[in-house]
Amino acid sequence: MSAAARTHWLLALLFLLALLLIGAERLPGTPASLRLLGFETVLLLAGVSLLLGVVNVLALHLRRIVLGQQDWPLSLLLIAVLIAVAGAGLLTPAGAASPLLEWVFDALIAPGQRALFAMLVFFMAAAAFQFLRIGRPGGLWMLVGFLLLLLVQTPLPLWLLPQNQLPAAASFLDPLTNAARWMLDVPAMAALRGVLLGGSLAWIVIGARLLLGKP
Amino acid sequence: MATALCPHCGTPNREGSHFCNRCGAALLAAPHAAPPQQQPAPPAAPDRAASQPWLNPGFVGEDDVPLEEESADQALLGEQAPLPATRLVSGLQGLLDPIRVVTVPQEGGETEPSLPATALTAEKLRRVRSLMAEEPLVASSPLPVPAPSLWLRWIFGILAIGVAAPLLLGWPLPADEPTRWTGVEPGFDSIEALPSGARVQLLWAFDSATVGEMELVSSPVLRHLAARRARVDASSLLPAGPATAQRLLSRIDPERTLWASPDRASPLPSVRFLPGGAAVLPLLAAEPADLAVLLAAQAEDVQHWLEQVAPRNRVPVLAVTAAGADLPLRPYLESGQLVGLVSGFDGAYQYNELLGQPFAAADIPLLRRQIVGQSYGALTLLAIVLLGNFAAWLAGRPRER
Repeated sequence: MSAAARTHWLLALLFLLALLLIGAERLPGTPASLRLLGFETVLLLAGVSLLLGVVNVLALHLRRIVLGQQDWPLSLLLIAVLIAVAGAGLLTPAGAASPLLEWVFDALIAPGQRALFAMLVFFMAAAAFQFLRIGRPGGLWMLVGFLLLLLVQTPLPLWLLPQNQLPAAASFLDPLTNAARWMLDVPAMAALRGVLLGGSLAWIVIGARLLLGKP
Repeated sequence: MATALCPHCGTPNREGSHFCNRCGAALLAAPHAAPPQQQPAPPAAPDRAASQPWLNPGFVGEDDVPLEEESADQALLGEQAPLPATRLVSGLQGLLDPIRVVTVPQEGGETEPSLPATALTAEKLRRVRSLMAEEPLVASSPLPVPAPSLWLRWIFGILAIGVAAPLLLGWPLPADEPTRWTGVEPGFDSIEALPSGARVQLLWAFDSATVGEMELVSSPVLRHLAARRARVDASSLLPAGPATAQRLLSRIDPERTLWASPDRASPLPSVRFLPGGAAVLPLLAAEPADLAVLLAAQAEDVQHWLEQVAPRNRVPVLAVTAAGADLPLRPYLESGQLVGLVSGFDGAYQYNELLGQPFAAADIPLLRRQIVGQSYGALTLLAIVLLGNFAAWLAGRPRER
C-alpha cells in the first residue's frame, strides 16, 4: 500500500472515530462508558506522548553527543540528570518519595518555578511602560482600565489620601468600583467568551480540514 | 500605421502620442517607426542601445542620487557629477516601470514640468527619499506617537528597588481592615453544610510557582474540610501539583483524614496527576461528589471546570483562588455557577475568622511583609506607566533647530 493510500485510510479511520465520539457524546441513551471512551483515550494518548517526549529528548541529545555538536557537554549533563532522577524513582523502594527526588523538587524544581514566575513582573513592567500610553491606538482605553482596576483593587487610595478624608473617598470610590465590576462583567466577559467561541470554531475547522485531508 | 518607439521600454506607440502606453515615458522626442508589418527585420541591437543608453553599465542619469557615503550634497548639486543623459528612473537600469518621483534642476537644461530651481535641495531630496522608503500610512489611522525606546535596565532597576526597598527598610503600610468580599461566607456555608463523610472533589491547580499565596488561602479551606470529615478525591493537571500538595497537606492534615481511600502505607497523599490538560477534565464528571473545591491560581482553571465538568455532574463548585483571579471569576459567582469564591489575603483572613481560627500574632508580620511588597509593587508599576507616558511626550515634542 502506498504512503498516500495509507494516509487516506488513516484519515478515514480518524473521521469515523470522530463521528463515533461526537455521536456518543450527543445522542441520548448512549452508555456512560462509551461517552467516557474518548476522554480516556485522550488520557492514554497524553501519557504515551509524555513517554515519547522523554524518548525523543534522549535520542536528540544522544545524537548531539555522538556527533560532537556544539554544547554537547550540556547534553551529557541533561542525560545524566535524567537517568539519575528516573533511576531514583524507579529503582529505589521509596519510589517517588525517594530522598533524591525530594531534594530535586525542593532544591531545583520549586525554586526554579518560583523564580520564573517572579520574573513575570519585570516583563509586565516593560509591557506597561511600552503599551499603556496615551497616543497609542487603543492605549488610552487600556490605560483607563488599568488605572481603574488598580484604584479599586489595591490600597492606593489609602496611600494617596489623608486618613480623615477616607470616608468621603469611599463614597467617591463606590461608583468607580461598580464601573470596574461592570467592565469585567459585561465587555471583558463578552470578549473572553467571544475568544473562547472563536477558538472553538477554529478548532472545529482545523479538525474538519485535517479529517478531510485538506492541507 | 506609423508608430513611435518608446525611448525607455521600446514599446511601439501610436504616432502623436505624448506618453508611452506601457511605461508612461514622454514620447515627444521619440524616433518614429514604421508599422510592424512593414518592417523587414527587428531593430538592430546597436540602435536600441543608442536609444536606451541607461542599459550601459557605466551610465549615470541626470537625477541619479548617490549613496549617503558618496558626498551626497556635492553630487546632488551637480558640482562634480558626470555628464547627465536623459532617463526617467534612477538606479534601476530600466528593469522596472519608471515612476518619476523628483527631478534635479539643471542649469541651462531643458525645462521639464518643473519645480523652481531652488525647490529641491539635497536636504529636501534626502527627506523625499526617506518618506518614499517608509511604510505607507492608512489615511484613516491616526498619526503614531513616536515611541520612546524601552529602557529595560531602568525599568527593571526601578521595579526591583520599588519591591525590595520597602521590605528591607520596613516601610509602613496604612493600617486597614481587609475587604470583606461577597462569596467567602457562602463558600464557608457550603462546606459547613456538608454531612460527615461527604465526598468532595478537589482540583489542585497550583504548584510551587504560586504556592506562596495559594497556601495562605487554601489552608483554612482544607482545615475546614478536615474538620467536617469530608472524604476528598483530589486530582491535578499540573506535573508538579501532587508534590506541592504533599508538602502542604503534610502540614495541614498529617493524619490524612481527608482522603477518600487513604493508602496509609504510602507516604504520598493520593493526588492524581492527569496528563492531557483540560481535555480530560470531563472524566472527573463521572465520579459522584457532594461538592467540588477548586484550588486554582488562575481563573482559567476554574472556567475550564465550569465549562467541562459542572454542566455534566451538576455538583456545586467552590473556587479558592489567588487575588488576581478574583475579578474575572466574580461574574460566575453572581450568576450562581460558583457557590462561593475565596481569594487572596482578604479571603483567607475572612475565612479564618469564620472558622474561628484567626491569624496568629506570630504570622501577622510575615503576612504584612507580603502585603507591603505587593502594594509597593503596584505603586512602582504605576510610576513606570507614568514614566512611559512622560517619555512618549518628550519623544513627541518638536525638536528646536
